[in-house]
Amino acid sequence: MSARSLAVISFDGVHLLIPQQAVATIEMASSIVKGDTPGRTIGNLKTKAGEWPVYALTADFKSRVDCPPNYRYCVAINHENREAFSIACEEVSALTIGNDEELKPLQACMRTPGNPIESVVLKGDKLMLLSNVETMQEFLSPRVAA
Amino acid sequence: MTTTQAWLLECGESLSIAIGFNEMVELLQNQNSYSVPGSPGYCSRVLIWQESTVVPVMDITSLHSEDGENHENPYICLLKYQQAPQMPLQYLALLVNTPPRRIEIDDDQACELPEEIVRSTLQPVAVSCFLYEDKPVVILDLTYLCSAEFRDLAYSA
Repeated sequence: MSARSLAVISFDGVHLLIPQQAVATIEMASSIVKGDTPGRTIGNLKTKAGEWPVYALTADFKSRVDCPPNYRYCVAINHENREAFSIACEEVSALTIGNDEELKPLQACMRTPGNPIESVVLKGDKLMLLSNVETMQEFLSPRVAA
Repeated sequence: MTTTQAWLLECGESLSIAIGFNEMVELLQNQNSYSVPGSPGYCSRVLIWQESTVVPVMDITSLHSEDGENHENPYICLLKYQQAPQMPLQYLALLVNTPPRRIEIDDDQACELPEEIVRSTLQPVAVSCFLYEDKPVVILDLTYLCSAEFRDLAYSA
């Protein structure tokens, strides 16, 4: 079994884990261009490498309308089949999970339809929440049924 | 007449439940719990038990009444259940107002489910009911309470 390399995206007391390979770039939140943006986004992250809609979330994953001053970074995440997105946050760090037994799947009673959290891992006194790019993207910007 | 041992749990002023004697694992106090965003309101936190087991923390009063009830200083009962014989044990932490009481129940204490339970989201997990000290006490099916089927019912309610 290979180790998992994860990005830890921290905001409002939440530590969200996303596969590190999906992270395109990490930029300062000052790079966010505000303006008319669709849905729940607070603006767009524009860099030479591309453009990503930005989401700023609360601890219970509700969308903020503005980026709080302590959300100083923005993690741009690429998705091969769907729209890319980025998440504003307070801190970004790296975590390697060497053993999948560290990951504890959420029990059925907690996995509501659309919940982007698959499992959790305890590191020190912090509970980290594992998601993947596809479910996180679907959560942030649900597809409208045809 | 059959007598059964059980634990009486006061989940709120108007909600008393009973669980099987062997379903109780431990009474916890001052236990850290962690929020898990995206999970249902009645089960939105987890605790870590014995450093390795992630246990959902459930506040069933919010399934009993729309207003729910405030738990100023709740106790947490750690309960165990099995989805089927031979399956691994699963754990559930239930918020309660007072420490659990060990009681004995006789068949002749059985009564109808209270109307407020019949009308609430808890109805599908209420197996039966009995009178204890003149109050109705509901027996819950923990396995169904923790199932995906009940989660979807509660989520859509």
